[in-house]
Amino acid sequence: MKGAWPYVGIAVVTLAMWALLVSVNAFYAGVLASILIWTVATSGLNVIAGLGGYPSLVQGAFYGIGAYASALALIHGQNLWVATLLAVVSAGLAGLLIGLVFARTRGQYFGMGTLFFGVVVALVLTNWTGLTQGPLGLMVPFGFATNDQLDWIVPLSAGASLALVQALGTSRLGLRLVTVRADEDLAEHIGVPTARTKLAGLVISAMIGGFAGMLIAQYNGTISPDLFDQTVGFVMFVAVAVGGAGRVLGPLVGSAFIVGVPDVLNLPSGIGLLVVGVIFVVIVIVVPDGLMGGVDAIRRRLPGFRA
Amino acid sequence: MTVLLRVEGVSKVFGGLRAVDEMDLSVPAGTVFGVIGPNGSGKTTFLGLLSGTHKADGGRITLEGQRIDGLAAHLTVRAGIARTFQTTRLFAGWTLGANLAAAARPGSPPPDDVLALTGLTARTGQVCASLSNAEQRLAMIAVALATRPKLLLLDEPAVGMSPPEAASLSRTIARIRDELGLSVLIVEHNMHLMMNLADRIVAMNAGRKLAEGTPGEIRSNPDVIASYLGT
Repeated sequence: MKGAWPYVGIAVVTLAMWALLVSVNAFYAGVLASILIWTVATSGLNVIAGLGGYPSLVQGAFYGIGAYASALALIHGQNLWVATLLAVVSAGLAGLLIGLVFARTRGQYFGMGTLFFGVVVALVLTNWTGLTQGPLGLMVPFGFATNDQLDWIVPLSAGASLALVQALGTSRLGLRLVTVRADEDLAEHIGVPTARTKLAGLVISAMIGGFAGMLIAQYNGTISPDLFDQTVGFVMFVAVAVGGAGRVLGPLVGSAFIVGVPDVLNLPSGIGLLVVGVIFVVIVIVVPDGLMGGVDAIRRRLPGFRA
Repeated sequence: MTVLLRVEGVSKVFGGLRAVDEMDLSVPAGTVFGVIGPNGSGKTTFLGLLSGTHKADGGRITLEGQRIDGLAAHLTVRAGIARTFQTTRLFAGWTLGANLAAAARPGSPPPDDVLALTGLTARTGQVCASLSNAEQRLAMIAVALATRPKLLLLDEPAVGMSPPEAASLSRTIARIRDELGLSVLIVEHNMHLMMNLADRIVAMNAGRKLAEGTPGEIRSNPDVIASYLGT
């Protein structure tokens, strides 16, 4: 039964998010939906960057690939199921490609490689105008039956992504990713196929990112390359770090700060990034394990705490 | 006696340095095999070649007749070779039990057995960073055993141990050989431990095999005395 409690917690959080989403005004509903869609994308990132400890800066590109793949499928007359499948598979294939190239690299080299790929994807989305209409972006056909469906699908997707990371964290792959994060050389010497583990982690991150891309395309109704450039990939990484890398609720908390604070304060994008930077620096100094890491540290100090 | 590990003409070059030069060795099943030599003689590099940490530049290594040179470290572990390190290497922030669980695979010995063998039963729930040096070094052996090896490579397992701790370690290694039937290859500078524990010893110097024999033969070998043991 102990193993069920995290899922109960995630279900409660999901219900609370849904209740909030349907009860606040349109502006705050928009902010909350953005936070929840980012929660999906950053939960994906939490697999390779959180569990695996690898600084992947390419999640924005997977998000974009998912958004464009689903949008193009819908534009060409496919239904939302096909569009979603294409979003997930195409992002997963991109993750596989990056993983095959960079899974044997480490630390900053992995980070630089993924950043490079993020730049390439942004350039392709901007310049392949025949397919993407370049900076003008695409109008995305609405694939759901009604707008109201998004009100429960978005929080449900966020909850599902959190639950998926919780399940992965206790799986064999999750344990292997955590050994890679703790000491990759030692992991290899106790029999963990580290390169394959990182590859699997990156592909799963990418697939979840692709799904989030489909959601944002549906929610916004329009997409353009600036929504998915390398800055987005970097800020998603910051969101995971702020929330607590490897902590299941970290992506939700991180996204709330990184997306929610600038949006609620209605800051211009440049100023918003500046605020995000300040939040990041303060949190890294005060709670290096992120906000959820700080919460865990406080819990451990409470009387009667048992791990 | 069945040969478990066979090393034939194995070399490793770093830049212009031949760290291991045409090494030959046969480790019989169920024996403790010692590797001695002065600092820089290539002992740890040799261990790295056996464990997949380094790739050999020449020669062949077989375990139970299967070639293992060129395998990645994790595949070498699956083939049946586990190792410990000269400097303590554990998932230091995890409990000992969690370290064992991370290393376990189908068919691994029960953690309780491994803990009992290494005398760490009472430490299973303790974070590894909080264990004493001797316990941490035993914990490395426990983790290596949890991978279900046929050959255990120990790189200076007695470093930093007091004489009673080293004697206890020696008894543990003898039990690993006698009760589990594993072969153990040890690199160690503690000559008292080595001479009393090893069934055979190979002495290395400048990356090459200088001599091989029983502890008594090695102790009286003039080349070994001149290059390492002293008078």
